[in-house]
Amino acid sequence: MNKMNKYKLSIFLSVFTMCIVLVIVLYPFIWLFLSSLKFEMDIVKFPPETLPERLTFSQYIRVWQKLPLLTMTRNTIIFSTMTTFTNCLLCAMGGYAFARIFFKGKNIVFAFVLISMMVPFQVFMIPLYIIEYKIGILDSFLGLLLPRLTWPFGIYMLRSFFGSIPKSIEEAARIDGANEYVIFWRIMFPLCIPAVLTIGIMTLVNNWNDLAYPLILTNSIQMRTLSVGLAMFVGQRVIEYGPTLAAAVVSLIPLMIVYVFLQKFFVRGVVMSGLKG
Amino acid sequence: MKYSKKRINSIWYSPQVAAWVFLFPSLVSLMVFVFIPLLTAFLMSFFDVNIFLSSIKFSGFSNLKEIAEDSRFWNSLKNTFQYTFLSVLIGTTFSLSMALYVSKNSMFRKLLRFSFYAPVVCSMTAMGIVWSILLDPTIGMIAKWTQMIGLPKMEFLKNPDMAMPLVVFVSIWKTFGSAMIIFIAALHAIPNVYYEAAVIDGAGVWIQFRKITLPQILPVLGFNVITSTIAGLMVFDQTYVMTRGGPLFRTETIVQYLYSRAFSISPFRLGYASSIAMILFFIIAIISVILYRSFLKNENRVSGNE
Amino acid sequence: MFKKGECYETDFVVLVLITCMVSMVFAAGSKEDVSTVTKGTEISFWNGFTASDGDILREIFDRFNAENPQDIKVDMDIMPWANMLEKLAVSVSTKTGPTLILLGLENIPEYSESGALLSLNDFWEWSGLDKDNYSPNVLKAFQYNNNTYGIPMQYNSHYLYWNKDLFKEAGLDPEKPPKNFSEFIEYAERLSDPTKEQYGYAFAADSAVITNFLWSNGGDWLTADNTKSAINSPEAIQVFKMFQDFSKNKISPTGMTGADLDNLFYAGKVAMYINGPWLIAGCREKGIDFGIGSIPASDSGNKEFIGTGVAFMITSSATEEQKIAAYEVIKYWLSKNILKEWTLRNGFPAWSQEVLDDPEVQKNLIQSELGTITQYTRVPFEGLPESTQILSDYVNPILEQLTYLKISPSEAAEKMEEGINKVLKNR
Repeated sequence: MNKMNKYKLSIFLSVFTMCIVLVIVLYPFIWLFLSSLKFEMDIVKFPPETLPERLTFSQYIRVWQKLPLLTMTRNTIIFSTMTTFTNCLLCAMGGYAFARIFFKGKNIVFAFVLISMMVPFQVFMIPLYIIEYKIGILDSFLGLLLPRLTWPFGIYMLRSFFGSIPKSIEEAARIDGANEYVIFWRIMFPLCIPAVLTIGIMTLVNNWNDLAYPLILTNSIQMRTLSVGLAMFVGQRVIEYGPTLAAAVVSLIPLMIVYVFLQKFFVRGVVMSGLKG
Repeated sequence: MKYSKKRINSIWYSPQVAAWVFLFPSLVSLMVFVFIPLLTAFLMSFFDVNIFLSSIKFSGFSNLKEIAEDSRFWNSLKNTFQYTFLSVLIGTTFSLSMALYVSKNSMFRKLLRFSFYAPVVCSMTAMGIVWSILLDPTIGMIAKWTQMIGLPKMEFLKNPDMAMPLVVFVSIWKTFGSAMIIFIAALHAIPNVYYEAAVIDGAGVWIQFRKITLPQILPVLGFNVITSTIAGLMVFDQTYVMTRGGPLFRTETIVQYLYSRAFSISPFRLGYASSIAMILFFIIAIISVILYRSFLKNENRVSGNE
Repeated sequence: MFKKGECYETDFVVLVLITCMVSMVFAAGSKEDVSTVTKGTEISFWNGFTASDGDILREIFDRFNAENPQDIKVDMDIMPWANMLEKLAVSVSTKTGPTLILLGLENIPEYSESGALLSLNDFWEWSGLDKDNYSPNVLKAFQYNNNTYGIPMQYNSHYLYWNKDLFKEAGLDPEKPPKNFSEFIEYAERLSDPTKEQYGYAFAADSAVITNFLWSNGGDWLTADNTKSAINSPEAIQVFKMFQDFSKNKISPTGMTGADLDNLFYAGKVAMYINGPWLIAGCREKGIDFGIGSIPASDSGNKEFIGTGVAFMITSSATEEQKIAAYEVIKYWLSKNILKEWTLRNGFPAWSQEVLDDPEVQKNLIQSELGTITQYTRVPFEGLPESTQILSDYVNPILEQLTYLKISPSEAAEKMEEGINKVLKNR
């Protein structure tokens, strides 16, 4: 086999493999979306089919009727976008501080940050409830926001990214007389925008879909988020699959839109303006 | 006056102070809302206390002693390790491979990049339900396809031996996208000149990977390995939604076990659950330190940036 | 390049951003103040009735809020049971808990022992309702230590469902379900067809269903005084063997949960199924031609079935005023019209005589059938706080091993006995 054929074969194989991966990745979504348009008795039947025999919007109508969708969406948006803003900012600041500034006690403080990542929510949710009760912020947006102001994972990740920027850029700025805040805001932060955006969308997604956290800290239907909406069709003995799937789609769409929109900024790449080579 | 202003400013603008200013809000939030609850949980492990906080008795190390003889605890530990090992090894390798392929810019790869992140965006609860239906041994699509291609009927999540690997698979399906885009961001930061030079020197793809790519992304690789290990050891949602810890407790993880002790099974022993949590915490901390050291060692050798 | 002026500018921008975010917090989301108590009291009410029965509940309570003369406002918060249990204990202990809750009656012993519940001993006198109207079986099931901590909201047993089409296909009379154990096993074998993935009788490895057969056969989990295990008996081992054979012979699938089996029944792959009343609505919706009736008695004709239910309870977070308001709510629920509505719309059997006597209920064949079964029911592990522990740690896991053919029926009985006695020893 000559070189040209070998090349073509390897391209074919890699594309083929990727298509298989693509199918595995996307099929559940396709099934989810199509099944949300089926009648309840067609979703769990034998033999199972992917395509709906007959279409219906009744599942979506049921979701609309049963859930205060607008309130829930509003709450979800407020909660997730606020935490996303604060996370992006604070994680960037924190990551920068750990990566580029040498200060006393740095390692211990970083250890503290990592430790907060190492305990699952189920373990500290009861003490957290009590603390919020004592402070008096239970059942409020402030109560949902303050514990999630920052994200250790984000600090850690941005520390890695800030750490990989060559010192030469920083030194050039210092020679020009800039202080830490300017260096951070004008130079370093812009260089890590893709990474910061990555943290942003991760925070957005995590908080958008979180169920246990908002549920235990809020007491009224007014404060509920979309994730709860999904659980509302899953009874202890009865599961309404149709509305559950429809609610899942409804919850999914805003995130997908945001993701599509941000896609362009994600992998723009870091531009090293002529300082190396 | 400009002179004294300069003196005050010079303190404010000193790196030391700036660092603390940058970290202050994060630290306060973490201290009050994570660290203190954590300490409380740590203290509770020495007490006999239930979730009603109704009878609080000091019990010292008796919780720990009981855990040592609790076969269900050791079982959950084994399951957790199995889950973590499989999901970190396979997950990281897979997301890196995908990242390598889709980081280049072509329409097809952009489509892939977009699609691969889709599972991350949806909720685990929703997709857990979807996968459970798809994997149903009788009325699931996957059962239908496997029988169509002639395989014998399989129990999937109901089979004690198949359950954990399937949960790992779904978990990787759900999360590989986020590790992937982190890798992509790192790959994009490698200047093209390196590769161009290597090609000129006649280096093959594999050599390029080993000598250029790998060292450059080592910090990020370490990051992904460490964070996915921590997440793996703390896993709860995946197993809770798909198998509830069964069958025969083969997918019960540590967090799931401590959750059931505290919330599902009388007498709702919060103290006992906290002890388990503390043990888990130490396991995570030790493993993280080991991983961190081994990656950091290589990182310093390579980049010399710290 | 960087003048001092520009440094201030950056700080300023950051400050403005932070101020904006903070003001967004206060402006956007603060929920409406619920403090204005007009004529009546406001009480919070938590329960786990997600899905369709929750809709009916909401309707009923919306009507209550609109119509009740004392102008009581019930603020109902429905969330999944698991999440409710997460919140309930800590909220009650910090006095931020709800006034009224619904909870499975098996939780009454544990919750009352922990001081989370208020005693409701004065309810009947206060309400003036005729206690004799309500099934004594049922009322007794909600007592603990001769005290009342829960008032019944709904009560149900398990019933035999069968797929009439599959009966016809197998040559069996669709109107004649099996009457005793022997017939039951025979029918199950005839109705199973592994080639078509059809199951004669499907069950989940859960103690609830097995209890029905255990009791009818003369066995029991514990001794009458709840002090020791009684499970290691020939009667129990017989029942265990019956169920293990079902798994072994592929008459039932292994490892399925209740929800999985519901789906299989709806898909027409299961001929006989034992479940609570919630299956009725689903069957109708999915178009299954089903029959419902009493679970088969033992060969000697003995029948005793499981009873379970959901209770109204009032937590210790309630003030005296709120407690009385909650009493009004409970009294409203126990009225003939509401109980009848719940029975006819939601399918749960009636336990109030005046409802059972109502002509509409009597016309409803299913409900009149279910109503006759209630007298044969009692609650397993009655009044035992350790019941969930016994079930979760020993009984259900061992049953699971039994269905996975990992242990023999006699071994299962022995292991259960060991486990139960271990738990009870610590009382």
